[in-house]
Amino acid sequence: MLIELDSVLVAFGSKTALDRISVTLDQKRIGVIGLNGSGKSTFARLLNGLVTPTSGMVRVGGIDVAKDTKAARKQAGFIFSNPDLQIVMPTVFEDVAFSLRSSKLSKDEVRAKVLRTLKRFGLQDLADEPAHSLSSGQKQLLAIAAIVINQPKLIIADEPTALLDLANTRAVAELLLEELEQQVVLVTHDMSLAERCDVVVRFDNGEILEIGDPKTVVAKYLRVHA
Amino acid sequence: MLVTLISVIGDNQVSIVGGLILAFLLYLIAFVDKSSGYTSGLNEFALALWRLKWLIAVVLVPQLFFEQLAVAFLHTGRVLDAVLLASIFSATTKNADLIRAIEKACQPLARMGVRPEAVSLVFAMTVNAIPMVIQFVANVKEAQQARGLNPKITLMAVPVLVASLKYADEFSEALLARGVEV
Repeated sequence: MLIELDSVLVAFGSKTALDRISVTLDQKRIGVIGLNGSGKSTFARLLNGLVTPTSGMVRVGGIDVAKDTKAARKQAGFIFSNPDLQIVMPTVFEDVAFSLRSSKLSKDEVRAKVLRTLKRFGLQDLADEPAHSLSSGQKQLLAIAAIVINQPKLIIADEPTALLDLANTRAVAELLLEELEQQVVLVTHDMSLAERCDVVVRFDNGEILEIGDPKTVVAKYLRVHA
Repeated sequence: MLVTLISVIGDNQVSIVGGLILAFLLYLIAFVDKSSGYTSGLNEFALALWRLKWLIAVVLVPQLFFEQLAVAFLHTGRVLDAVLLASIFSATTKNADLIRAIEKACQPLARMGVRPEAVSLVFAMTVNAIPMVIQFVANVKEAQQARGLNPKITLMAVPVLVASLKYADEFSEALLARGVEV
């Protein structure tokens, strides 16, 4: 799916988060790196309509995100770094089923689809557990399951492994970078994950400093900041 | 409904004792199982009473100084009935069922502009926020202990409030991302 940003400026009061950036991306795994405050999270939020550009245009899959935010959100799921934020309903099953609330499926169809999805993510035995009692890794898998069940075309993950241990980071990374059929935009500080993407976009001070081969972009970034 | 009824009209000994017997019977029925019969319900009821020992003490003891013995027991019994019935209700009712029931109950209000799904969502989120706030309190307490402070409500109020407001802010963003119009 084509992600197009045309001269996008995002300003919060007097602070400029993104300074007239233009970029076109269509790779399946897009890594986004940069220091804190460089604009990478603002970029990710633009794609889902969580942030509206002050000027310029954001188009994802041909949809102008600012004009048709509802359609843009339907095709692009968003995963936050803190999985606790994404849990809406009390139990694991209910939370995944919540994503299907506006579907036309019957109660039995919803149940079958949710159980299928939970099984895919290894959460089937936890279906009736309180969602908040899960481990951080399981919660992040739950958050991804709740997004994937709606079959979006694009998944935007903003530092999804930031609060996870090594084993859970590996599990979530495998899922996002290898298993999911969707296009993924992965904002990360973990350079080993960025290197596994098809392309890496490096942000610096509200601008795109570099786009290109993951290993090359990451190596340059590490030379400057490591 | 029973909880509200007993809390409001339970001002005589008959209704208080009746409420207690009702709670006891409901515990027996709710926790009955094939292997132990009604014993597990009996155990659960005893456990529930034991868990409420401090609540009973806090409600009863001050009243013993200012009220007649019968009145003090009456007021404590009313609280005890309400809490026991509320706990049997929450132990036997799935949140999903409760949320659906609230949504259905609010359907007649749709004509007046009330959105039943929004009301039930607010309820679900409230249930969900409880463990989060408990977690904030635990985190703040731990952080203050790590700094050598003795955690007190006055010291904890501001950081817990800040954490809760930040959570509310970020949670609304997450809801938007999941397609909920807030």
